[in-house]
Amino acid sequence: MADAWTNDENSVLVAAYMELVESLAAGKPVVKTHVYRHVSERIGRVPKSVEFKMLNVSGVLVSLGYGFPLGLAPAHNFQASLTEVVRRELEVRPVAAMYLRGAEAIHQVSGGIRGTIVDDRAADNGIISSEAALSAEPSAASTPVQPSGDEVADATELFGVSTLWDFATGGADVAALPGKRRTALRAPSPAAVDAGVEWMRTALLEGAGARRILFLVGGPGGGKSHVAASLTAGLEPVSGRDDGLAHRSYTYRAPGGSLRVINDATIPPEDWASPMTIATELDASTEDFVVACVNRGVLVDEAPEEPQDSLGSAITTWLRRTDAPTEPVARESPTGPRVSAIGTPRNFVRQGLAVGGSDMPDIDVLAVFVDVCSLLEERPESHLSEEVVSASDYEVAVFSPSHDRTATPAGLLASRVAGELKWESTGVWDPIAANLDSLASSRVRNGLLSVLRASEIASSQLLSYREIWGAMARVIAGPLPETLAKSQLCHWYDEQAAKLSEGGVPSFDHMRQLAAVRLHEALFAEDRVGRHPILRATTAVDPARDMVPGAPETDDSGWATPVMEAFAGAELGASPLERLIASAPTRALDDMVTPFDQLLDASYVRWINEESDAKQRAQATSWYGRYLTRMMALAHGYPAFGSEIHTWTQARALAPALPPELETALTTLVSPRREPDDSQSKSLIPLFASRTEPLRGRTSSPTLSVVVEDVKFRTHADGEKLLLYLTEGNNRLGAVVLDLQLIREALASHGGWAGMTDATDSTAPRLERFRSLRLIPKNRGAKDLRIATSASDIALSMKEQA
Amino acid sequence: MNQEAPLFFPLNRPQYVPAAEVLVSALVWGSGRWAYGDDNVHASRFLGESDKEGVVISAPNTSEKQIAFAKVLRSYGMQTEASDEVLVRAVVSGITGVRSAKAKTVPVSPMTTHLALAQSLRGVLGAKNPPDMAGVLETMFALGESESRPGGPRISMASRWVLAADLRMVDDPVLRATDTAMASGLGLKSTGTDRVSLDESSLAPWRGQLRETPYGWLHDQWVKLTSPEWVEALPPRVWTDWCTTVLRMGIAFGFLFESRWFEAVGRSILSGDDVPLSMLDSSAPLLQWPGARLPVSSRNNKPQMRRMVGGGVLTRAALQDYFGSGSDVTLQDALQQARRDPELKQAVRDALSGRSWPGSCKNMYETILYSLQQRDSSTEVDYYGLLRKHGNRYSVIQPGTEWIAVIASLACDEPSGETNLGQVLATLGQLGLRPELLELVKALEAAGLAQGSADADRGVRVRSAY
Repeated sequence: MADAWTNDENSVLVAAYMELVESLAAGKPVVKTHVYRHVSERIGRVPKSVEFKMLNVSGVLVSLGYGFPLGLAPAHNFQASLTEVVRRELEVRPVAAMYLRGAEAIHQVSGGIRGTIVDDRAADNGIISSEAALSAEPSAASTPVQPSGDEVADATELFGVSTLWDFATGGADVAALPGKRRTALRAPSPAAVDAGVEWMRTALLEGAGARRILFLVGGPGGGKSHVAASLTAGLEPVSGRDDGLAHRSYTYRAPGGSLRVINDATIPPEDWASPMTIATELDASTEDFVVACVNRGVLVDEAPEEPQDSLGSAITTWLRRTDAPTEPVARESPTGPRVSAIGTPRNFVRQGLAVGGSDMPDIDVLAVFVDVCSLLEERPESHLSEEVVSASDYEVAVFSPSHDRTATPAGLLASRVAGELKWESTGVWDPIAANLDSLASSRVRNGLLSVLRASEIASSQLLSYREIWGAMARVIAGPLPETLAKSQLCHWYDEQAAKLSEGGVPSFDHMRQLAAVRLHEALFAEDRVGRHPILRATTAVDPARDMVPGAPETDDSGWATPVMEAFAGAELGASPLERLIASAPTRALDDMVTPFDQLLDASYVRWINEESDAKQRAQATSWYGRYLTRMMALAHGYPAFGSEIHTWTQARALAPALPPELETALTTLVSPRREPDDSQSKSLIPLFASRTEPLRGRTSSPTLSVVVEDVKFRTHADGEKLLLYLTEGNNRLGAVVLDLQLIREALASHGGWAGMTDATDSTAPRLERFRSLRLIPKNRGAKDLRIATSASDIALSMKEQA
Repeated sequence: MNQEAPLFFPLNRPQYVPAAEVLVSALVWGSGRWAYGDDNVHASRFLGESDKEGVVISAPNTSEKQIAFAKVLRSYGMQTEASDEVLVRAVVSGITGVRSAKAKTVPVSPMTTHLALAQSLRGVLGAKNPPDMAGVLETMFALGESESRPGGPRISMASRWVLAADLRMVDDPVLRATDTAMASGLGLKSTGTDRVSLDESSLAPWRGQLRETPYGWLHDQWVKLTSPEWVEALPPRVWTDWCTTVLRMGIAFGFLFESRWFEAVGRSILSGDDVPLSMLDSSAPLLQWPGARLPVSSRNNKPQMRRMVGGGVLTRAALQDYFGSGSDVTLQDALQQARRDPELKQAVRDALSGRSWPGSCKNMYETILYSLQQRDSSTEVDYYGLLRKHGNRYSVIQPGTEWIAVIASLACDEPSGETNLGQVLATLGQLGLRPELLELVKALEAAGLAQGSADADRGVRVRSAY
């Protein structure tokens, strides 16, 4: 094993790296291998080692919040001492620092190239000539495929707000195209991706004993093809398709061997005559390494078409498993091709050795499921050690509005976006400027993250990076990306400016229209169709639905009292906003409120004092009340049903046990007393009823019933899913999903009364099935039978028959 | 499927049965294993008017019957201080089926063999020669068999059900006592083993050809539901409700399929084109299941059903008139002959025109529509229906939560198991339905059986309800 790099060696290397960056900033072409050779001669390390260390420097830069040059994609397992060296160099090299921090860090492949790294090995092979590299034409050697949902911006556009149009949901063309621009503002990778990339990159650079396959599994917008692209950065393409279309797969030559990237398995192969599944493609591929971006639906769709007993189908069978298998997984015969587990699988990463039999070489496989862990929770730690990826378990924090989510992947992304966006305000009335002003505060950003996390729990759907981006677009530019073309933004602003009344003071009506762009309005706007990927989640936790009395940032869970009190006196000319700030003098609210809001407030007060129509006044006050409610709640991170969300996360954290309050509530919900106010009353369900609704009060006729008592529960957490089991001793009688709806229903239960909410229609079927588990004969005790009469019940037992 | 297949399916004509529970009873009676002990009794109904000659009311609805019923219950283990009347009323309340708003009879929920035998089709319909629904179901079941059925006599639907019901009683002394009490009151005599007899010669050409049709669906779901694993996994009433749901859907889609078949044959005769064989697999839906976001008028299934039934029934009738009832003419021969006969072609043209709507069409249409539609009950909501009425004009696919639970659960390999959306879609495809993915996911979510995912599409995990 090689000696660790010394500080002196690191200093030489990092200095060379920064000189390379400075050359790029100056627009000069750079030949990497010359740099490696130069450093190698100075410090006595082989060029290959220098090259890899350069990638470590990129890794350090990323960890410090900088970008990196194309062709030097980061390797993240670096010496701690390297970080200090890099920091020092950045301090004394402002040009390099600026270049790496800003948009200039990214090399465009279409137009406006500032400089390009040319790999002279590739040049020798005639793949990339320096002329071609300097041309404005897209180069197949550049990052091949990029999903639109992961990217931040066109970096050379100085990352203006208008670029959010590309990321607002439904805004951009989602086709993955070769040569798509990369960005300095990368989002942090999902859990285990870095370790997985490292695992594959090591093999790409240095070779490996066995073939390797890295699977990136997840839905669109999760960053899979972005990750794949980072692995191919700087590699020589073998299949040189540059037709502007997305293709299923690409092949490359890497120092360690050949690489096939199956970039989008939903795209069929071009040869329709021989349809290929992922399994058959794996069986047929001759490349040393494969990176495959897959969604689960494709795996399921292709299952019937797969060969029965091949290594490829054993691998896809292993991939399809919804648990984290620790035993070998085979498609058909346990002695045939199979995948044996390596390390400890988690539900977001698993590793295995695919063994095919005597004629088939073994294959190392690693699968990272990019959408299992919430981007709004702490990313589980993962690392690569001796070729094994290990990861800590995924944890869900107990929900609290004040819980710090700024270090989560979504939090880091939000911080970068808010920090890097450039916008020139057009005036106090400019809502986009106001949004950026609010989002400059980490408290407000944390409030936003809290609400987004709540929306995930409420909707039981995790937000992908594409949706996080969409949310960012929404909280910065409101609905404008969905109603205006990017090119119309300036014109829209001109129109708004023209509407300003004499003296430049907008009317209340005008301000209301502008207020629709404000982040707390835009995030909870009505989703009429129910299909908006952001709004369908966030409207479920609209704070206006659940205003809990209390003061924010105190011990209780309430927050809305200041808003409720803010409107007392509005008719006398008092400012609701001033009253709100006075009664809730928190830093978060202070950060949230902008001159825009003050202008809106002033226009409201003026209007309410002038308007005589009572209905109009009521409507306006209702609207403005909702506006302030949402502003208050979002600033502090209070979603609707925050208490119930807290309970859900608490239940998940305590699995297999339940929080006592919830356990009592569920017991009441599942087995409410026949007479709720009589503590001696039993819970009875009809023995032979189609619907197991508990008997309540008097019955019209005698009814065979089962007593439901001593109800015991256990829970099991699996990623974001929480299952509630009805148990008897150590036996699980059955399960139901314990989601927010069921928790709300339970927590609405009090005393002996079962609760009802607006979710009752959807929870009732589940509850009835859950109750009916007691009706299965093997789950019925001998003493559980009753005949329920109009006011009481009579015991019924079954004597054993000979 | 090839052109040597027969033209006609060997199916008797159906009639709508107002109480779906009676379908199970019809099956059990159709096995021929039991007969009434009293020669004067020809039929039975559980509760209702008792003015029909030869029709016995099987529920213990008199003091005398109650005392006798209670006596058997107690002798078979029921111990309680409740009076005979209270005990019997409690049991009767438990075994009473869904009361239809307009029906004159009240069905029993056939949770055991003798509860099933407590009512007969003749007794419930009040008709001397009721339709042979048992024969229809057994034939559909046989049509849906796979080619690889093991040799030896076919195990009929009735036998499978009886075995399953008997198995259930092993662990359920309450049902056992109830079954015995009912048997005692009915006074039936056993005639021996299963006597279901089908015309194998008419079934043989179809063997294995109709797997991806509603007949295949009925076959597979019935085999699964009557297996020991599912019998033990479900509460008694739930299992019975699932059985009736499978039968309802089998009949409705089975005849919808037949109607479409003949409609296609008719068009083929007129156009000269071959019958599109794609209609014989799951790629062509029998009913449209569009998204709920569309207005009710756009989702109304009635016009399509009427057209299909009208064209199918009348075309079949015209061809039967031509080739003779019971004909085993092949599809290929039938097409060749029919295309040469101008009179037949005109009859087919008239059949497909939609101008005529005789009683046979109305009967078939009502059988299908009311089997699929949520029932109007005076006592409870029907959660097992597929179609929902919106006024008198519209009937749209809006499945009850328990309908989805049946479909999705039986798509799993085993109780408490999991499957995926792709498999549920495949099962629905067999039945003749191809919903939008999002609609199906929403329905599964509403039933608490799945959670949608941006990624999984057909890989969305679906849990069994039990």
